[in-house]
Amino acid sequence: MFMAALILILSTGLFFFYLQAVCQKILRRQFAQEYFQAIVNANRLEFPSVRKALEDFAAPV
Amino acid sequence: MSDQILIHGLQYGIYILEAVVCVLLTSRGGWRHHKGLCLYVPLLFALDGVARPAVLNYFGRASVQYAYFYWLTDVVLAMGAFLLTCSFFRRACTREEKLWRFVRLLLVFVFALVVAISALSLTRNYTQLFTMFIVEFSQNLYFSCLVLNTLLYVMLQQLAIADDELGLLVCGMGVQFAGEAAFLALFHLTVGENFARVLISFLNPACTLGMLLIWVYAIMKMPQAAPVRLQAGEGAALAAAIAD
Repeated sequence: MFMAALILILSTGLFFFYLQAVCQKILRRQFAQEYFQAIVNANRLEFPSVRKALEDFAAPV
Repeated sequence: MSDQILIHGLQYGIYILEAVVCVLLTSRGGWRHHKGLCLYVPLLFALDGVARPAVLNYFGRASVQYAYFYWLTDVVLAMGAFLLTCSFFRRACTREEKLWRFVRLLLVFVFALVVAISALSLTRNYTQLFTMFIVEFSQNLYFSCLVLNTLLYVMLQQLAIADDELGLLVCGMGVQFAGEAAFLALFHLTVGENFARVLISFLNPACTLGMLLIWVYAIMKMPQAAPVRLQAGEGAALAAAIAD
């Protein structure tokens, strides 16, 4: 009984850990082309310019 | 009725994805890079997608023959999964021969330990020698595969191996093994109650489907880490070129 409960807790934890790792690996993938640029231009979003300004400033945020 | 449709949908999805992985591996000429996968996925397709349904249709779900065949093929698949884990370890240790010698010993030790623990379970019940050993052995082997897979994932992170494809393949295996181990433990805890049976009949194929989807993505989309082997003298020339 105790072993089964332990295996259940460990396995459930590992299951969600692996799911998270898969999502992270897929989202971290870098593309040859920046696909978000078209959406940024179309909606006049500001976050790339803010990010660039912070990078140029080189100060801890 | 809708439960059956969902279960059949999941099952056919698994068959289709197994076939897709086989086709991807052969069409991309990846059999050299994915030796373990090239053995395991066709074996999974042949046993789970062809042989089991054939035996089920011939003998029926309640027959002893189908039960024996199911558990025997489960042992074969568990051993295939163990060998696949070994092949992933080999791939991770391509440049670390010293580490591979230690890992190889560890894998042999784990396999011997699983056989010994499963054999110990026989002492509790001599009347069901065959079935008892098979069920216990396959469950223990699946759980040891989960532990080894987690060790492999930790090793990949520690050694900072730049092989995203291998990382995803290992994660896919982890999803399958962890899901299966969790459902088996739940089944034991609830002493095989009806809701646990229903849950397992849905979630077990869903985990297999998840693993195959992750593998398809890994083979199709992820760049492979190409091992660079320099000929004699090329290393010095390359160092000189970098210094220039």
